[in-house]
Order: sequence, then C-alpha cells, then structure tokens
Amino acid sequence: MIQHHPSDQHLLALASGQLDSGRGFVLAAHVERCGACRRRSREFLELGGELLRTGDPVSLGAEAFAQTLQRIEADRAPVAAAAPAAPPAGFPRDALPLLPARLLAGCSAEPWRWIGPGMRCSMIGVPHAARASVFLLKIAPGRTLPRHSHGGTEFTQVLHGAFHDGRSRFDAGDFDETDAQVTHQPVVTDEAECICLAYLDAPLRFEGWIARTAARWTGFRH
Amino acid sequence: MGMHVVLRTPAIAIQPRPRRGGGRGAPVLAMVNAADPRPEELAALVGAVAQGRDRAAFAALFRVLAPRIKGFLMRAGADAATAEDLAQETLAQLWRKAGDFDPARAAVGTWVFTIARNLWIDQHRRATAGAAQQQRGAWLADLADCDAADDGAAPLLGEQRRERVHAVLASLPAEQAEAVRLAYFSEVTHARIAATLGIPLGTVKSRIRLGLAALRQRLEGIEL
Repeated sequence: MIQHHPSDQHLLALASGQLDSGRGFVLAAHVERCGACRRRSREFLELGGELLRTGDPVSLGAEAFAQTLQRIEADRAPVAAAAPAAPPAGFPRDALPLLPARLLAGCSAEPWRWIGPGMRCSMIGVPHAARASVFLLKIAPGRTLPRHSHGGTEFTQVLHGAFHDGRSRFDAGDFDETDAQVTHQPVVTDEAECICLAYLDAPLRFEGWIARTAARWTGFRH
Repeated sequence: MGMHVVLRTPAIAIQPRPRRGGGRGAPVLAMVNAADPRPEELAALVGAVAQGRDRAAFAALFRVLAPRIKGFLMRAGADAATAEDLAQETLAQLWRKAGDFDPARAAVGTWVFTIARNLWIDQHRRATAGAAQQQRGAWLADLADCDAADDGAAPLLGEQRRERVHAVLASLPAEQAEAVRLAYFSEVTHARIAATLGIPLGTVKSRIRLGLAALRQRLEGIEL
C-alpha cells in the first residue's frame, strides 16, 4: 500500500509539461507504479483539455489556415515508425527490473560506485535533464545516512526496501519530496537493503566534517 | 454496409470531397458554434476527418480550436508567434492522427491538449538547446501513460470524464476556479495577474495551492 504521494501541484506540472525532465523522470517512476497518481494525472490532462476548450481564444493571422494546409501538403512521405528503444546501457543489474521499462529509453547509467560504508550510487543520464541530477542509491540494511539538509528540492522514489527518517516510514512505491526546510537522517530498515531513485537540484548539506568530506566524493553536487 | 477504405493520402486539396448526406457523421459540420464549441460536435468533426478526410470538418475544427490553442499556449508562457506556430502544427497533427482519436478514451479537448503540450515541450527544448538551463520532460507523453487500469471501477467514456472535471471546476467558487486555471499557466502570467490585482506573487501561489486542494476534495467526492 503506497502511503506517500507527490503533491497535486507537481502532478499537474508534469501533466501540463511545465516540469523539468529530471524531476519529471522521478515523478513518472512513481506515477507508473501508483494507480491513484495515474488517475490524478489523467484528471489533470482532462482538466487541461477542458481549460483549452473553454479558454479565451486569440485570433490567428489571416493566412494561418492556408499555412496549416501547406504543412499537411508538405509531408507526403510516410512517417517511419519509431525504432524500438535500445535497452539502456550500463544500468546496475539489480536496479534495472525495479524501473519502468517505458521510462528507460534513451537513459544511461553507470555501475554501482562505492560512496561510503554500505552505500552505493549510480548516476543516471536522463534525456534533457541536468547532468548529475538523477541517481540511484543503494543502502545496506540497518545503515544510517549522514544527517543532512537540502540546498533545493529532493525527490525520492523508493524502489526496493524501506527507510524511516524520524518524520515517517517510506516503503517501496512511496514518494518523498523534501526542500530546504527539511533536515533529516534516513535510516534503512533491518529487513533489506534499500534502493531509491532520487533527483537533486542542489547539493545536499551534510552535517559534520566527515560527512562533508564524503560528500565531495559522492558526486552529489554539480 | 459497404467496406470503407480510407486513403492515407495526407494532401487535402487532392482529396475527393466526401459524399454529403450519405454516411454517418457527415453533415455535422460547419454549423459548430465557434464561441462555445460543444464537445460532442468536436468529436463528430474529428470522426468526419478520420473517416472521410473531410475538409469542411477540418476547417470547422481549425476555426474553433486553433485560436483556443493559441490563447492557451500564450497564457502558458509562449510568445504570440510561437503560440501561433504551435497552434497550426497541432491542427496539422490533428489531421494526420485523426484516425487514432478514440472518443471512448478521451474528449477532443484532452486529446488536443496532449498534442499541443508535447509540441510545446519540443519547441521549448529546441529554444533552450545548448543553454545550461534544465529542459522540460514529456514523461506522460500519452493518455495511456496514466490509464489507471487497476482501480477496479468500470471505465468512464471520454465524454463522461470530461463532464466530471467540468462539473467539479464549475462547482468551485470563482476565485478558486481561477486559481486552478492559473496552475496551468506560466510565472509570467502569474506575475501579471498579481500586478493587476495588486497582490504579492506569493499570494497568487498560495491561492493556487488552496485552489488545487479544493479541487482535490471535490474530485474525491465524485466517484469515477
């Protein structure tokens, strides 16, 4: 049972095309797995259509209809069917089945990289997203992450396992959104390792010099 | 009933005019009220384009939809020239893809909204290519990407879904309905509204949040 969902504001931004690609990718990974959020997203498409149909019109140029007919005339060539997407390169094998295949076309990833005891990370190259803003994180059972705050927005979609951070418990399928106001210290539950998909638009701020040093190695900054 | 063969030739000008008054759906045309297009009229017109490559139906759709797409995109942040270009391209795609339109799945407005939105995302990417700024994503490219097949309820027809969101929007107090509309529009539009009303931009944003909360409450109240 999914307990934590994205806000309506973010689902609307995704549905109306306003959201940047990095955040959209992590949000869509949640929507793909969550029937309730698919329904909400659909409602925002329906509402967008209704606002379009009933909104105030703005006149087009006198030649607009003729120009549109010319566009239609211009493309007589049959449109080739899109080539099937190549399987994404380099994804860690244990994470690949946890991500929706539909989203992976055009993405790339690196193998797991050690970033600290019991912590591994894999940067994901997402089309049109800022470099080093989307990544996978794998944390061993029972492991505590360094306490940190956020320079900007963090989106986290739990793909496997669970963690709690003092505010709440987040299980597989749950979505978490934090901003600069939140300082937290996620602790992975003892039952299983935890794999998350995350988006960061600014570096995390770790407390303590060891954590800050580790942060320099993690690539959690760009 | 004779077999209906649809020629996939895209050129309008060389198409034979469809026989009038004969087949289903042919004579809906041209009388569509441009000031208040009825959803079922729009669906019939798209059907006529799909089945008969009907030029008059397409012209009627253009007259009704293109200025609304342009207006919508301008409020969403496009400049007038871009909005006009994208409105034309949306209608060109409507002609090409009319055969894919399924009234059981979506209202015409919803379908056209996704086409225009995807074109707007592409245009935004072209305009910002090479710049450091983050680009937009089309991760919900299609209605199918948000079909909730697992919710167990009998699926609603596209028109019933449209009526539902329409009724909910109409039931909101005017100020909240306006706030929900604003959620679809750009920061520039928000700033203009804030200036017009003489209120801070932050107030506009909190009104949007409240409007969406009220919308959610009412949507949950009307079962799918």
